[in-house]
Amino acid sequence: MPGKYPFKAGIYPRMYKDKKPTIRQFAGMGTARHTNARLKKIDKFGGTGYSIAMDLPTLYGDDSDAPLSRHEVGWDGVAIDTSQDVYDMFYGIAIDQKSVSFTINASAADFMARYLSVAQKRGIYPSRLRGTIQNNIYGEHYSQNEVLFPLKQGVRLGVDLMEFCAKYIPDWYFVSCQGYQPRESLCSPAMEIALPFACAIGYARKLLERGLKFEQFAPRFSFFFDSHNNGMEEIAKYRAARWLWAEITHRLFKIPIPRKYDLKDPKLQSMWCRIHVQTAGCTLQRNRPLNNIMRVSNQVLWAILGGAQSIHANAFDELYCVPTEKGVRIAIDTQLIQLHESGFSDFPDAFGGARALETETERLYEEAKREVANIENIGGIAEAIKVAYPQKKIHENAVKEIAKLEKWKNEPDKQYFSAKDEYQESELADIVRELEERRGFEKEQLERLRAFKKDRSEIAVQNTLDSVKLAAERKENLMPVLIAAVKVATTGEIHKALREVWGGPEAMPLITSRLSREATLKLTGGYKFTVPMRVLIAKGGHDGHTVGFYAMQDVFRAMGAEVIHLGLRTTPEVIAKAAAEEDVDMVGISAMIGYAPGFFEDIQKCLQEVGRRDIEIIGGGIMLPQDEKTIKEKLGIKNIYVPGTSDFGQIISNLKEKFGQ
Amino acid sequence: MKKITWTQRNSLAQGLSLYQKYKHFTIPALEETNSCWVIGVTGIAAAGKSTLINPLIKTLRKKVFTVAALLIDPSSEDGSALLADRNELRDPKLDLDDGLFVRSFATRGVKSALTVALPKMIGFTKHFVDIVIVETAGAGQTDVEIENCVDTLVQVLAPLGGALTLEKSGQNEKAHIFAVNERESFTNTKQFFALAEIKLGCKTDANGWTKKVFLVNALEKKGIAELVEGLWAHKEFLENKKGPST
Repeated sequence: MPGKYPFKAGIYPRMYKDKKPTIRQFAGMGTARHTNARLKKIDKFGGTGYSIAMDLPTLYGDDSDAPLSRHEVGWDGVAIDTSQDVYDMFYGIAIDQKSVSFTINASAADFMARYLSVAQKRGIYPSRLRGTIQNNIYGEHYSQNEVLFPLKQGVRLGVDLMEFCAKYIPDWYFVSCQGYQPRESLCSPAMEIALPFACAIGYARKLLERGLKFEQFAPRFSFFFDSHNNGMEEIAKYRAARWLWAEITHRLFKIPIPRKYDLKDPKLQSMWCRIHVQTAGCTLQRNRPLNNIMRVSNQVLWAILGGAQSIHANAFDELYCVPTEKGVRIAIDTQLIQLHESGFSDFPDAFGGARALETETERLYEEAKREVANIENIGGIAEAIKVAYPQKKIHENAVKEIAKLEKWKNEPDKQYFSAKDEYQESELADIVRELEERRGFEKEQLERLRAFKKDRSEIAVQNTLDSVKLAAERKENLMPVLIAAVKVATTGEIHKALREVWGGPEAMPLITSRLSREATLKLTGGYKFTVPMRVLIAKGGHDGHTVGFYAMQDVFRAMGAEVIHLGLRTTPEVIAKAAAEEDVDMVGISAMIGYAPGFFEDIQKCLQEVGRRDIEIIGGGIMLPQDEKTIKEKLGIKNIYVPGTSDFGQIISNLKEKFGQ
Repeated sequence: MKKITWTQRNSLAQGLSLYQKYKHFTIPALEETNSCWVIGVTGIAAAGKSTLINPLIKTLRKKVFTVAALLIDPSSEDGSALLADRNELRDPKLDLDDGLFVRSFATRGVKSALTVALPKMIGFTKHFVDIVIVETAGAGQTDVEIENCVDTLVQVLAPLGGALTLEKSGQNEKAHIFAVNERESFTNTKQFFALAEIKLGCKTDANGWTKKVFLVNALEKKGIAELVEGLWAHKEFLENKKGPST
């Protein structure tokens, strides 16, 4: 029964008949001004909530003028350096009447402090604010790797934010434990349930230690899942998740099974697993991009059948960039059509009782329960991260999934999957046009930042940062200090101050490439260098996507090269210095988010400056066809590999030509 | 502020490549230089050598000496290699330091040019910097080579094993300084350190140098200043021994 313990069928008795799922659309691009315009457009299209993404420098607590931020500012989210940016982003938008979600983790506390200071400035009481901040720092340690401090201090900052919200902003969901990211890194659906629950248990214990009652904060835990292609498994997953979470709150945190169901009762609400669903980004395909609309439409339906509280449908062009306006409109329409035309929203848990679905639900429930127990036995999520348990599980499953997909898409009836067609280029035309405009964002944001810095008193900044450092050394909740500090200090300055006290992130157990031996061999065609070849591999910018980077390492080693691993987050200057000192034959660069030609141009320039223009540059990454063209033709870097569209054999023959058969 | 110019940097880098490529490569006009100090760092795999070198370099750079670090890792059987020590040296303070030169090498097999030419390579590097740090891959041919061409040899020990392990012969006899690298997960570090002090320290080698043992925590950068003081003591000892001729 929907609305009854253990809530397998849904958390509300009448589900969508009373409360429609929030239509949350992805926004956040360029400067505050651009995002503001996009938010207003989403309102017009019929969205009922926002999901705001920040650009990489913001997520990594850097300012737009930091050396690593080049070519990333405003690229895949909005650039936030100052509280003025947040103010302008929401200018003219009634934030007390909208549900706003922020996808930010390591630097969440700083951002939330800015949001609160803006609300203060506009005279809005914190208790009127509604929304979600992701703030799941445990999650960042096993996927995505958006980490700024050692685990212990990172968690403290996150829990400070949770405690503050639980006390003063009653309607704010202060943590969204995500299974989405690990699933996008190809973990199993059971692990997708288990990981966020293990995180939530971890946070609950921390909050209990601070003297809060479980029902004081648990109603504001939210969970964030993926919606993949396999419908039966996905619907079952949401049901299994609600079931398991209700049981955890009952068994582990001693919330009694309710006798009366008063929907306003915080104890009852503590048992609810509230679900936000995003359709699976990893299922979007580069070829025949319009086909993605069908995939997203299915996935939205699974979320509705699974009883999600909030849904974010991906735009068909989301894998290229922050979606274009057309992409957003179609995504919103997809949700509206499924909600109003499919007819399923009138039947809570429409397929509950169907044998296949119940079997699948039980299987996932059992598997997820076992995984939660495994993590608890290690000593909780923090310990599990230290011994790399989640990382290992994700990696193992990913290797299996990739091999399975390789086989699947080569079956004769799956030709449509990899096929291209002649309209493809024209389907991308809008994206190309919008992306061209985005290249101006960086300049505009730097101008804003410079103006802000010019207008303030240096002494006030120093005093503020000192107060942040002092508070960081003590045990008190950091939020009040941060709310005061964000008025004069930038995101980069505050995080730098915190890092001075706490230190930077600990080295994480490296998870290596997912390429199988066969896949590597297929790429290299069995080619081996005839003489010892030295290759420096590095990844520029803040981006933490490592799949391509480690693949590069495997491919070069398979060719018999000596690979010098420079690691992530390198500036072109550092790469050039290392390349010269190591006297390498090649530099391998992996790019993903940001303006790719910019990265390559900078590296070329830096190599020139140190007198090593002769070093061959090899690169790869996800980029638009015309960016690939620019790099190849304008910069003359021939060896660029874009997975799915370009041919690695061409690079091999280039190498043969240069370095011998 | 002293620095290594880009011309020097490229000459050093490409010169080292020549030595590694051609076994019998020599630069004839090169005369001996004695003003440079060569520190060797050895120890078994995962003892924490590269993690220790990071704070070591930082401390030495604070004293304004230019430093070259030569990091040697083994090659795989198929000839490829993953050289990850340089990644351990990634640090905002070191990344663009123009008084620092870092170079990684793969051994390329037992009888490779590297093992043959290593003394020559160190000699060559000496012309460019004040201090050369050579890190070797633990056991292997290069480790035996290294003893003969460094001034001060540091052995990094992970707190594993007991009193008897420490007394077994091998590297221990040649090293001048021992660094017991503390780890969070090794609870018996303190005891191990005491044993090491007893078994390895206070012994005098043929030159009359009394060996020293230090407790460091490479990851948390503790005990580094003391270790560096120990290194300087050894350098001073060597200089005094050479007598008034210098």
